[in-house]
Amino acid sequence: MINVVLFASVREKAGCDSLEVECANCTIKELKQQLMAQGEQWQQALQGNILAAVDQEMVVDSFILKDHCEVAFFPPVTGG
Amino acid sequence: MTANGKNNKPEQQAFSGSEWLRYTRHIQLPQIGAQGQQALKQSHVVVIGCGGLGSPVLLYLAAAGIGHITLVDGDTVDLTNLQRQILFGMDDIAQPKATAAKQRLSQLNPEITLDAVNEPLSLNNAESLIAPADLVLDCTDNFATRYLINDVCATLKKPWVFASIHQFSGQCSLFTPGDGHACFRCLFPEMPTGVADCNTAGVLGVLPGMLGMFQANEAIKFLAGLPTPLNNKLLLVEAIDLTFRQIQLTQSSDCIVCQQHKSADELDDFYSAACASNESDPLEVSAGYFESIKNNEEVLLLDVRTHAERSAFHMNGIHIPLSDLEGTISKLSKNKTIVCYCQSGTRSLKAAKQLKRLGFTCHSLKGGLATWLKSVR
Ligand SMILES: [Zn+2]
Repeated sequence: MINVVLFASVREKAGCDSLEVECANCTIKELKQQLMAQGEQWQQALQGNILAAVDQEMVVDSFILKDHCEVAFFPPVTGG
Repeated sequence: MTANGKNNKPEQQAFSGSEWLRYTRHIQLPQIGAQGQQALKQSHVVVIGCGGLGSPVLLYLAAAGIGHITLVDGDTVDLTNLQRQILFGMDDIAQPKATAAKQRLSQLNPEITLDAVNEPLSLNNAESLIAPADLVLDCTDNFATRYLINDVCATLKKPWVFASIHQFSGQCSLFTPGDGHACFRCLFPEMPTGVADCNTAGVLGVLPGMLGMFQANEAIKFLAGLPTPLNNKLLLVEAIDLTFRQIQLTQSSDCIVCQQHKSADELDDFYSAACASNESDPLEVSAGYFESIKNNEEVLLLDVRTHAERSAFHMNGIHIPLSDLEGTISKLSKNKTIVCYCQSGTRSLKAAKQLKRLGFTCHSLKGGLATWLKSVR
């Protein structure tokens, strides 16, 4: 199991704060695709400039996920 | 007097009596002490933006005894600011923010030097404003200015503390150019588009308070030589469920600033492209014109906001939420001039463009109800 935590507009658009998915040994890109296949709200949540961190370290789309890791998805925000 | 009494020159002292008393609770901390407090006193900090983030940042930095603070903001105080911009009160409305902030802070701490710059940070003033700083605080509300701060700070090797907020979410980081760490462009290489600001998306009033306090905390520790865990890390904050994460950053191998050493002057187009959306659309009418025509018989006011917004406040006319407009267009008469309005003017412009394509005579209230309400107050 992989724990996915969402931040800012990603959680708002996806309609949830966090979730668990079965996705060990796949890449960040494949995890995104798997989530985006769950419906239009996920496509909106993860499209564009969404960044990913695994166990609190920034990673690129080709990063391969290990079981029990935590993936955080977050967008740029700009208010002040 | 020195101990042997030979020299009659007064001994140098770091603090006046009133400063010593004022900063007692800092000096008592073994991690700060007189030495740390003196470092704060000798520091020059430039705070860019005196709004939601700038309010707590400035109050705490001034109270902490940062010796010299430059305040930069080209905006004036507005009633909608007072929900979160705790530097200001009713008497400050319509006053320039930097000057009003300076007045408030000089009451809080007359021992420090405060410079108010009543203009926005731009390519013209950025380098001269940032050059004398020991540390820069990014309390702005737009990406173009954040990239400008990043690029100028990279060239001048100035550390800066970033924070930004959206509704219930916030981010904060300390960037220290020249040490091989990530910069803001390593994190966000392309100017994000379609990201709402506080004016269009709303923001929880205490959120800039929380994030501004994290900025002030890193700033004071950085200047006093204490640990700064947000250096090369991005703090993510969710105020709803109090989720916090610190994301380790890495310098990007193709960052145009870190790797190609591009300067702000070379990236000029980048900042201006980001601000192009401020131009008027021909369908837009000003708040003053709107006020003069809104009661005309041949004018039909069309509110395109949500039901919840409509029930909270409206100005008569008819109501069709933007999302329902396409299916409801048959209700509308082409004999009248339709003037669309919403909260900030974004949705109403979309509605007006949609109606114009279908042959209606229509306008959109520029700046929305927010601007009109201010103009008639
Ligand atoms: Zn960089």
